[in-house]
Amino acid sequence: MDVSTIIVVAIIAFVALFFIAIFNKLVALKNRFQNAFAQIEVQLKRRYDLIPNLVETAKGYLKHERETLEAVIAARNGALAGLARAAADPTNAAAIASLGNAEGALAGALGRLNVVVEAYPDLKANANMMQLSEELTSTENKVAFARQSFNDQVMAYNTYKQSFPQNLVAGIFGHGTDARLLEFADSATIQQAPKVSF
Amino acid sequence: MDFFRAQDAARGSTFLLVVLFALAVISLVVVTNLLLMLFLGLVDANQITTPAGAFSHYDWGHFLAIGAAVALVIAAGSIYKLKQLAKGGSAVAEALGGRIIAQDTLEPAHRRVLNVVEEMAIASGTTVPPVYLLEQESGINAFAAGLTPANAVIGLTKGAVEGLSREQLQGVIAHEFSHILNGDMRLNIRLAGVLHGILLIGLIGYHLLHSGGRGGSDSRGSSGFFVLGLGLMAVGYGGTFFSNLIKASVGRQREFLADATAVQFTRNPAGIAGALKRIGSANSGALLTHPDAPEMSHAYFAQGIRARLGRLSATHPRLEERIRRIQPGWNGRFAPAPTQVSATGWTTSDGATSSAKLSALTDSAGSIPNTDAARIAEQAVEQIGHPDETHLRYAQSLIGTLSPALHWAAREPYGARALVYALVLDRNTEVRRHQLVYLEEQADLGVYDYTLQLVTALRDTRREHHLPLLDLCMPALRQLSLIQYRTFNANLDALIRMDARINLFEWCLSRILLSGLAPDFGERRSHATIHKTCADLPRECALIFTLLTQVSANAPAGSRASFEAARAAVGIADLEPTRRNAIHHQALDAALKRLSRLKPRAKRTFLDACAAGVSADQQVSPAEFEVLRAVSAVIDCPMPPILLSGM
Repeated sequence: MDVSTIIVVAIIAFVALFFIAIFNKLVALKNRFQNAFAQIEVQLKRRYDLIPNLVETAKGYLKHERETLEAVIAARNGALAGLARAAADPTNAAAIASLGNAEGALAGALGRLNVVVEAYPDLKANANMMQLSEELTSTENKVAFARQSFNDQVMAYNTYKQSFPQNLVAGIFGHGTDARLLEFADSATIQQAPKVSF
Repeated sequence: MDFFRAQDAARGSTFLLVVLFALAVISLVVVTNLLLMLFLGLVDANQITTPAGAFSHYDWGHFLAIGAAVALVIAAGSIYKLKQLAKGGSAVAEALGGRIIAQDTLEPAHRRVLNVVEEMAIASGTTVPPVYLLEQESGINAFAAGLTPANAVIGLTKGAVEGLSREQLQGVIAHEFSHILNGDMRLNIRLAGVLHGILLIGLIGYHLLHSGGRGGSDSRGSSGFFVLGLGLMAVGYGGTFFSNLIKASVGRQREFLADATAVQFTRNPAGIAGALKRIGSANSGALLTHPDAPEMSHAYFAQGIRARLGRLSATHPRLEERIRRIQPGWNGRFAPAPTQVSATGWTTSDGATSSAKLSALTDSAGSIPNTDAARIAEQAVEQIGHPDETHLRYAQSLIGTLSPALHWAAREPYGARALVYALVLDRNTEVRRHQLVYLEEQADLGVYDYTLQLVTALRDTRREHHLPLLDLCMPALRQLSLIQYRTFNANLDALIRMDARINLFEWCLSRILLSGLAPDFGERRSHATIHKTCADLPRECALIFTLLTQVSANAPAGSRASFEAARAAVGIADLEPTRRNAIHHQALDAALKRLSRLKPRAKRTFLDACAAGVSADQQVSPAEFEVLRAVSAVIDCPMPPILLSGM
C-alpha cells in the first residue's frame, strides 16, 4: 500500500462529486423552468376565462357573424386543452409546441373578430366590451412577460446541458432532449393582439 | 425568548454542532481506516488473509493519509452542499420537488393557503414568502427554508393543503413563521450542508458497490471493490447515525419553541393542535416520499422520515407530547374527521370585517404628541420577532382595505414591477417628471401606463401600507428570470438615484427588495455577523441617525437633539452628525450592508438608538415609524406593524 492508492481513492471521490454537481445543476435548472410555467398558466387561464364573456357580449350585436364567434370559441377551447396538457408537464416539448400552435390559432380568430367588430360602432362603444378588451390587453402583456421569463429559463437549461462537459453526460442523467421554448405560432399576429381595440 | 437572544442562540448552537461534527468525522476516519486496511490486505496479499494479516499493514503514516482523504471528502461534500443551499429557500424547495403556487391563482385551496401566508407575513413584518406545493406528497407536512426572513420560502405538502382546515393551516404556517423568526432556517441549512459531507462517504460506497458488481473480468479486483463498497456503505450508515443524532439534539427543543410561538401568534391553540391531531390520524401521517427528503428532515413541521432508531434519532418530539404541551387537557384521541375545503371565505381575509375597530397609526391621526411616543417606539423594537394575534387581526384588516388594483398588481411579476416603480416615485413633482420620462423610455411595453394607474391608486393609500405592499410584491418578483431581474434592478436603481436628495425610506425599500432577491439570482452575499458592537461601525451609525433626524425634525435644533438622543442610546461618546457632503448613495448603501452584519445583540442596541432618535422630540409621526420599520427590516429584524392599541 502506498500513497498513490490513497490519491486514486481521493480522485474517484472528487470525480464522483463533480458528476453529482452536474446532475444536481441539471435538475435545478429543469425545476426552475417548470416552475416558471405556473405564471404563464395562471395568465393564460385568465385570458381563456375572459373570452366567453367577450363572445357573449358581442353576440347581441353580431347576429350575422355566428361563424366568426364560433371560431373564436373553438380556438379558445383548443387552447385551453393545450394549456392543460402543457401545464401537466412543461418539459414535454410536443405539448409546449401544440400549445404554441393553439395560441396562434386563437390569436388569429380574435384578430378576425376584431376586424368584424370595427364595423359595429355600437358594440365598440359598449361599456362592457370596452372593459373586457382592456382586461384582455393587460392580460396579453402579462402573458408576454411570463412567457419571456419561461423562455429565458428554458434557454438557461438548454445552454447548460449543451455545454461541455455536461453534454457528455446529460443524456445518461435523463436530460437527453432539449426543452422547448414556448413560441406562439405566427408571432406577427400576436404582436398586434395586445393592441386590439374594439 | 427575546428575538435577538434567540438569534444569538441559533448562531451559538453552532458550537455544539462543531463538536458533534468533529466527533463524527473522527469516528468515520477510524472506521474507514480499519475497512481500507482490510480491503488493501485482501488485494495486496493476493489471497484472503486473516484480519491479523490486514492489521499487519497498520501504519500511522497511512492512517493519517487516509484520515486526511476522508476529511477532505467530507469537507468537499459539505462545502459543495452549503454553496448550493446558499442559493436560498427556492433552491431547497425545488430540490424537494416543490412546484410554486402562482400568487394570483384562483384555485380555492391554493388561494386559501396564500391568504393565510400573506396575513402572517404582514403581521410579523416580513416580506411574503412564496409557497411551494409538494404535489407528490400525501402526508401532512410543511417546511420553511431560506437564509434570511426576506429570502424565505414555505413549502406545504398536498396532504396539508387539502387535508387541513383554515385554522389548522394557520397553526402550521405560524409554526413555520416562528422558525423563520427564531433564526432556525439558517441553522437548518447549515446542518443540511454539514451532514451532506458525512453522508457522502456512504453514497460513494453505494455507487462503488453497484459499479463493482457490473464490472469484473478481474474477479479478485471486483470482489475487492465489492468489499470496499460494502464497507464504505457501512461507514455511510454510521454517518447517517451520527447525522441523525446531531439533528435530533438540535432540533427537538426548537420544535417546542416554534409550537409555543405559533400559539402566541394566533392565540388559537386549537389550530395547531388540530393539525397535529390530523397528522396522528391520517394514513400517511407526516411522511415524505421524495428521495432527498431526509436531508431536510429536521426542518419539517412534523417527523417526515421514519426514525430508524426510535426516539434517539427522531427529529421531532412525539405528536402526543406536542399536543399535550399545547392542550394539557387533551383526551388522547386523534381527530379522524377529514376537513373539507370550503369555497367560501377564501377570497380575502376572513377576519377583515370583524377587526375594523383595531386602529393603527394613521396619517389623519397625525403625530402622537405625548410622552408615550418614546415608549411606543421602544415597544416596537421589543416586538420584533414576536407578533401576536392583534398584529394578525391588523394584518387581516389591512389586506381587506387594500385597493384591489394594488393587491392584484402585487401578485404577479408584471404588475409587481410596476408597483415597485410606483412606490419609489418621488413626491417632488420635478423629480417625478424625470422618473416618469425615464420609465416611459426604458420599461417594457405597457409598464409605464400600468405604473401611472398604480400611482393614482397609491395616492389614496396610507403611508403605513407602503411597506406591506412591497412585502406583498416579493414572491412575484422572485419569479422573474435572470435577464428580467437585471433590467428591473437597473431601472429601480436609476429611479432612486435620480433623486438629488437621499430619501432613507425609499432607499430602505430598495435594499429590502434586493437583499431578498439576490440569493435567488445567484448573487452570493455573506450573512456572517462579524461586527460585535455598534462601536465598530461609528460612521455608519452616524449616517443613519443623521438621516433619521431629517425625517422628523423641522428645525436644526430639533435635529441636533434627536441625534444626541440616538448617540446617547448607542453609547458612542464622540459621534458627530454626518456632514451634508458625506451623505451620498454609495455611503448609504455600504452603511446598510455593514449594519446588517452586526451581531444580533448589537442590532438591538442600534435599533433602540434609532427609536430613541425618532422619539426624542416627544412626537412620532407615522412616517417616522415607517422609516424605523424599514431600517429594521433592512438589517433582517422584521418589526411587526406598530399598533396604537398597545397604548
